[in-house]
Parts: sequence; structure tokens; C-alpha cells
Amino acid sequence: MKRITQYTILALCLVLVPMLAWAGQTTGSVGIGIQGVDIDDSREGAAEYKTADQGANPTFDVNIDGYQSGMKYDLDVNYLDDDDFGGRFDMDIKRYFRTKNSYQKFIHWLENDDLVNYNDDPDFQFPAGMTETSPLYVAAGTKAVMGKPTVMGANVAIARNSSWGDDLYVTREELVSENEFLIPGAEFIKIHTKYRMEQREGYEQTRTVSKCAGCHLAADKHKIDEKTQDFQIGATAHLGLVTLDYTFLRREFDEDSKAPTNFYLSAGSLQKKTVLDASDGESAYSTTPDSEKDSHIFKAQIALPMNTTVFASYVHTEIENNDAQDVNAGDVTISDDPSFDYDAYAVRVTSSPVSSMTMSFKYHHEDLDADDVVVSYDDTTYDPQGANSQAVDPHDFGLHGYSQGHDGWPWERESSLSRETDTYGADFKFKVLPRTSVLLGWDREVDDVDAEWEETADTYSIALSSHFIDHLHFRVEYSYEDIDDPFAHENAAYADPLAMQAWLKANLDPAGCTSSSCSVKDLPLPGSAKSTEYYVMYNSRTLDLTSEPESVHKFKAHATYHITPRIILGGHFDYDLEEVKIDAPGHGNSFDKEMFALGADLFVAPMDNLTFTFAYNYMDMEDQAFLSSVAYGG
Amino acid sequence: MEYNTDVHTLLISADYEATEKLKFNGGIIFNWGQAEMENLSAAYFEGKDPASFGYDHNLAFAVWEDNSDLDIEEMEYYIGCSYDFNERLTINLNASYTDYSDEEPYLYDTDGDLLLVNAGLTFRF
Repeated sequence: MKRITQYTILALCLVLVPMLAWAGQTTGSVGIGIQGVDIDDSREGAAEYKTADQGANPTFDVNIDGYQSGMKYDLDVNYLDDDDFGGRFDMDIKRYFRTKNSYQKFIHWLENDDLVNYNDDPDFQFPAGMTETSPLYVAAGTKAVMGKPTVMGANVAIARNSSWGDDLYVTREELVSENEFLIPGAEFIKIHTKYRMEQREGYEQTRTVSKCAGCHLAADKHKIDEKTQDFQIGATAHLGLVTLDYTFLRREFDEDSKAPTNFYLSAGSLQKKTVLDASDGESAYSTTPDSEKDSHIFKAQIALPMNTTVFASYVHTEIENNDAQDVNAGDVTISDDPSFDYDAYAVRVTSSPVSSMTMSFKYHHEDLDADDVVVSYDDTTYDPQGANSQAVDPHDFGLHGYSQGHDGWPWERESSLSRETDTYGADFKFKVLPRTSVLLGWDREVDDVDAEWEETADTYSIALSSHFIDHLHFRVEYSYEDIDDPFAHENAAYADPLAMQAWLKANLDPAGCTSSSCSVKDLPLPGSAKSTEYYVMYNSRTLDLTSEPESVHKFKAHATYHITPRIILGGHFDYDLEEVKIDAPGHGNSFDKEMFALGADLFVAPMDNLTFTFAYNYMDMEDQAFLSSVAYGG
Repeated sequence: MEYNTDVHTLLISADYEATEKLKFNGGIIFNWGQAEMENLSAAYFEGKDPASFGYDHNLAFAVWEDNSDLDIEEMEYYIGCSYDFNERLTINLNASYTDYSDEEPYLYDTDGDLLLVNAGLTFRF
């Protein structure tokens, strides 16, 4: 394949160059060369996006640019390797037909996580049974016994990478073809089409749990064979002061590789407690479904007196998951046919009634309707309340808390994506001095999520842009965003963790309970708290946690100064401050997230034939988050 | 839990036209990225005595911060020249060397270096 590609490009050069070199107004170049590559140690960092085959490889490049008989054409081809080449071809035939085409392919080398997570700490030692070259970790307590190949002892933590040492990479290629046709005799109508193909092929790492919880990990490589295709066709009509446009887009996403599978280990006496175990055999994980998207896009623009323009648009989109089906994983059934309907209306009015002022008003409404998911859970084996119970109110156990809002199984889980969003605002630009403008803006976004959450964000901005002083251009901008009721994880943390702890210790199954008398049937573990992880602990959390800010300040400035024609100095400064406010005593206080960036560049030409460029950029970012999680040991 | 990121990027380059036919260019690009988790506090409340695992929970929490440390230094040197034999034919020679240092490996050691040498002839028409 590699040689076929090389010979094809070489033949193209040999045929096209002499032919076009004779043609009248055609110029261009052909380059042939050789690239030598030498890599020491790991290539994922030093050559992350390079094919970088060791040794010497031929390279080609072609450029042709010309004009003949009303036809203009431009061709570029660059070839380094079968996985690293690209080009473009543009042509214009008397403006009745225009085509722009491009193709690019490159490789991305990926890391292969051995699941060890070691570091250079001199005190670090690999656990018994695990080395850097044998990333299989089995940490066993005294009770643990490696029994049958598919059954682990109860207290064994295991990490296994089945593809350790294998190369992981993804090649990405993109082909884009945009075409426009004018209809002879009706040149006010333009037909436009676009085709885009993006393909990803290679191997990525996928991970899953090998037994229950995050103590038991498994990783393998997963073949990637994804193709995304966009088919777009539409028409634009210029009718005097009115311009109308309609576009239809179909996007198809296909994943042709097989999903990876894992043979989940049974967990000894906990066997009945895990969703998947050895009895399910090889089970697929990390699957990527095929999908389709259809969009209808209408646009209209009207030019009115006093430099006023009205723009309006409507978009209707439907997205379907082609592989959706009910999923039955162990004891959990998920009835899922996820599809999305999206409608958006927008209108914008821009006007410059006087030369010193431009104003713009906008309104945008979006309606996203995502299907809900129905979850069924066969809990007859474990549930101390009996089969098909409803959610348990912690108050029944003498605890404060809330009762999760569902009435037993099956439970309809409302999509958190479904929402209506309204955005409206205004922008003003005033010319206050020669070559100097002040910009003022405000917009409000109201995000009304169907799953009972409404967030309102107001953004105010002011900017100054000036060329007032000769050879100096600068712009400074400040914006403030005030967010009312930012999204949060509801009922995410305990108001009184000590009360929860005391309750757990006071509610244990007695020693000597049997498979029928323990609170969890068929799971005789005397001394365990009674089914707490399922029915009490989560429902006892009452405090909300969030990492979303209530206020955001953004300051930007940049300037360019032509000190002399031979010396140009530039600089930029960015500072973002996000203020997060939470009220969760014992878990965390309000905090700030900050981003600071600073840069400068200097161009100096001390002589006509000598130039220097110096550039420096610095970025500092501080983030913070809180989490309250229920963890289980064994 | 706090997470801090610092990134520095420095570029120095020069172009020199020795004669109408002979041109040189060269430069250095330096990238230095650091990131780390700080002040990780994992207060936990045990409902029962922990099971007898083969590892130490306290040790696991103690090194958790370090597993997210990131310290990458990448230095690239490049140099090139071109010579025009005439209006139609040019020879190009370019070389670059990249040294990538992973000072805090947490997946596996990604230290490596790359040497690229390109030589080519360009024919114009």
C-alpha cells in the first residue's frame, strides 16, 4: 500500500509538471527529498504526531497555480509517509463553478497505561507479584485464595493490562469538498454542496473493572474504525434586499470494529452482589454506537434603511442512535432508545443610524428534547424490604435525609439534557475618538432544565479598542458574569457524617446470622451494616456540592507597538477569576478558580538580511473541586 | 482538592540571507509544563472495620497526590539552509532535534528524543 501511494504521487508529478509547465499562465514547483529519522527511548512524547519510521524515507511535494481560459486552479500535495500526507485542490470556472477540496492524514501515538501509577518516589516499591514489565498486580490478604480461574477470593485486589507493551495509535484523516454552482440565466440562485469525511483508525486503550468496584481493574487495546460523513446540500437566493438560504445536513457516524470484551471474575461469596460475573461469559464493554443526524437550517437576511440589517434563522435537528436497544446486564435492565430533537430560533437586528454608533440586539431560543431512560433492577435477592421495593426514606432509620424520588422499579430516569434555553442581549459600539471605539454589551441566558433546574446568567462587558496613537494598537476588555443558581450535584454530601457513622455501627447483622436471616439474603456476612449501601447511605446525603461559579470576572488586554520599522513589540495579558460559593459545612468552603496568562513577542531586524524573533508565553491555572463519595471495602 | 497548572513557552528564531542564493534559518523552542494536585484531603468515616486487604489505605491516600504530578520539559533545536542553483532549481537541507523529558512519570517513563534530517531538491516552472 505504501509503495502504491508513493508511485501514484510520483506518477502524478511526472505527468502534471511537464503538461502544466507548457501551459500559459501556470507556475509551480515539484520537490523530491529524503527524510532521515532517529528515535531514542519513547516516541509518545518526542514524536507524538509524527509517523517517524526509523531510517530514511522518500518525501514529495507539488505545487501548481495557474489561470487559463477563465479557469483558475491551485493544487498542493505534501507527502511524508502513508500516514502523514495531505493536499488541497481549488478551482474556479468563470465563477459559475467553484470547488475547494482538501485532504489531510496524520498519526497520533497514544500512551499505554500499565495501571501501575508508579512515580519516581524513591520509597516506592512495586507490590508483590507486579513489576514495571509485568503489570499484573495481585495484592492478597491472608484470607485470599486464588481459586478457580474465574473465581477470586474475597479480599484480592487485581490490576491487569492484557496489551502491555503494544503500540497504541490512531490515524486521523479528513476529506472536505465544498462546491458552489450558479444557475446560468438565474445567477441570483446559488446551489451549494459540501461533503466531509473524517476517519479514525488504530488502537486505543479501554479500561473496565474486572470484578466489583474500582479496586479491580482490567485494560486492553480496542481497535478503532470510526467514520463520520457529512452530506450537505442547499441553495442561496439573493432577491434584492432579501437573502434566503436553506441547507440540509445529514451526518452519519459508523464504528465498524468489534467492541472489546472482558471475562468478569466472580467474587467469591459476593458473587450474587455483582452485576456482571463469570456466569455472563465474555461481555462487551466500551462500545460506541452508530448514529445519524439530520438538520434543516433556514436563514434569512433583510437589508433595511439606515444601515439596518435583520437576520433570522431556524434550525431543526434530529439525532438517532442506530444501535440502541434494551440492555440487560446481570440484574439491571436499561430500556433505552436515546434520540434527540433540537429546535432553535434566532433573530438579530444590527443598525448604524449614525456613523459613530453601531448597535445590535439578539434573541435566541433553543429547545432540546432528549429521551428518558427506564431502569429496572431485579432486587428480589438482596432487598430486605422484599421484592421491588420503593426507595427508602432515611427518616425511617432515625436519620435525617431525603427520599430519592422514585416509586420502585422500573424507574424512569429523566434526561438531564432536556432543556429550553433563552438568550437575549444587546451590544453597542461608540466611536469616541478618531480610530478609537468603546464597546458595551449585555446578554442574559436562561437555562431551564426539565430535570427541575433553572440557571440564569447575566454577562456585562466593556471594551476599549484604539489606534489613536501612531504605531500603537491596543485593546482592553473586561466582562463580568453573574450566575444565579449555578448547576450543582444535589444531595451530594452528608450534613452530619458522624451521625451516619454512628448509625452504621449500631445497625449490624448479628454474629451467627444465616443466609436467610441476615438482612441481605444469600449474603451471610455477620458484622456488616444492614444493606446500607443500597438503601440508606446515598439517601442520607442532603448537602449540595458544586464546582460551578456564581460570578466570573474576565480581563483581557493586548497591544502591538511598531517602535521602528525594524522593531515590533507585542504583548498580551489574560486573567480569569471564577468565584464558587458552596454551603457544605465540614466538606469545604467557597473557593476561587483562577487563570492567568502573560506573553510578549519581539521582532528585530538589525540588518536587511538578518531577522530575529523572540517570544515568551506563561500560563498559570488553579482549580479546585469537592467530592463526597460512598466507598466500600470488600 | 486543588489542581495547579503552570506552562512556559519560549521561542527564539533567526533568519539570515547570506547571499541572494544562500539562506539560513535556525531556532530554539522550549516548552515546560508542570501540574500537580495539592491539599488533597480525604476524610472518611468508617461504618465498620476495614477488611484485611493486602494494601494500606493510609499509604494509598498519602501518595494519591503524587500520582497526578506532571513535569514535562521539551526542547527543540532546528536549523536549515537553502541554496538556489538558478531560478528553477533549489536545494534544501533541514535538521531538528527534540529532547522530551518526563520528570514525573505516572503512567510510564515517556522520556525520548527525536532527530529529523530532511534533504530535498525543488524544481520550479
